[in-house]
Amino acid sequence: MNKKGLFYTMGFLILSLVFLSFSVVIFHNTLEGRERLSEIGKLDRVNELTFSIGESLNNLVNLHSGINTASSSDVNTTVTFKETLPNPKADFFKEKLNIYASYIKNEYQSSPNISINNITILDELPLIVKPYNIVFKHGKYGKSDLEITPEEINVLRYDIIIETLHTNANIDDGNLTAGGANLTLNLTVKNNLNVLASLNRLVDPTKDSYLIISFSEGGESKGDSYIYFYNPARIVVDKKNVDQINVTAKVYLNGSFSPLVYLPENSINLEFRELGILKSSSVRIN
Amino acid sequence: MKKKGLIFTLDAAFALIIVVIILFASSFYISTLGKDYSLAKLQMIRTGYDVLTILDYKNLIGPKIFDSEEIYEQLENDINNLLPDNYDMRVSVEYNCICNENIDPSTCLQIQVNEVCTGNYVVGDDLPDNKDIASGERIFSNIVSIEFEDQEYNNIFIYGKTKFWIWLK
Repeated sequence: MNKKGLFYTMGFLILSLVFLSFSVVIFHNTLEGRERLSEIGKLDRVNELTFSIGESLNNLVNLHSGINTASSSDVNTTVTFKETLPNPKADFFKEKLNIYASYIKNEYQSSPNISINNITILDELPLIVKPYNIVFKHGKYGKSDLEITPEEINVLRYDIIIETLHTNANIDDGNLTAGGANLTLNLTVKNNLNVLASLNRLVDPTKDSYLIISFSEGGESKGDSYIYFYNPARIVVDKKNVDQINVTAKVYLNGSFSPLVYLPENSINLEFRELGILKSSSVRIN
Repeated sequence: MKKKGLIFTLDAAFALIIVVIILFASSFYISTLGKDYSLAKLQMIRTGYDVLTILDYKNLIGPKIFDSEEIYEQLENDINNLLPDNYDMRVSVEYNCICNENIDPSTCLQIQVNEVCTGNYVVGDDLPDNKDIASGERIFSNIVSIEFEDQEYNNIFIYGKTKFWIWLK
């Protein structure tokens, strides 16, 4: 009978402790929830910024780079690149991209720090065709060549159209190799009036080989352009000593997925130390 | 022995006071933490971003704002039409432009310091003192035509930053 008070007090104490424990658990959960919300808010901001910067970069590349891209998966799966060699827009694009990259760098120096990888973009101006892992790039953007490099032989055919201002052209394909896994080359050389020369033949995509296109006007040589093939199905179009050519390269792909063209993976780099985030983004341009 | 009930009551009262103090302190601390972000605020921010994105996609952000008072009012109406009824919003726009390659460099320099190409403006109400305000920003770009000294220039790349502040009415 004397212990009734003690039991009563103990019971009350245990009840209070249970109540307190629940309070502590709820407190911690709420605290954690708030932290997650705060992180979501900041991540949302970061995502919105990188996405909107990517869209601007896309506009800039499509408008000023002098490279047109198109893709299709209707009948055949193809991706087409069109560029003048040397690219007359290259210097202008380089200057403008540098201005834009500086603007972004100045606006976002910390929390988050955002930068555009203009050095890589402007050096080779690589464009990645996904999901086929094909890279369209240049030895030096704005100079004499362009190249298309598949990571594996997933290219069925190249349709290359070369436009010139000259009146005559001759194709010398004596150094092209056929055999192995066959790749079709369909080459047309033309000016604004006529088709000057054309070629449709199989090429061994695993062997190094090349062809020469010689331009002339009224019997006077106007220079030679080269098309090189390297393993695996890599093609390089080099205008060499010709003044200017317009190149349209249509790539027929072995697959049914619609090809998408992107700038490289590290085109936009973001560092947000507060959340320990390092993010490299690509930008879809077609 | 007769004071046992009093002591027990005091004991219980002290215990209750301590628990209540802890609960109040916790809820105060949590409410302080929640000032930066809450679900309601995240929803407001999301709404703000949506409005800015739609304005950007509809090419409504840019130097055209200076063409006339009518366009300025139109932009304000567009924002109000896009916003849910219970929100108010203020938008600031800073913009710059890049000439196209056909514009000669001296004209380009003149254009770039003119308000058709570089400037800023604000649309919307002043920020209230007594409301919880959420904010955000995004980069925008457009390819537009601008008019400078009675001549129209096409393919001008406009870029800049838009900021918004949004609050419940």
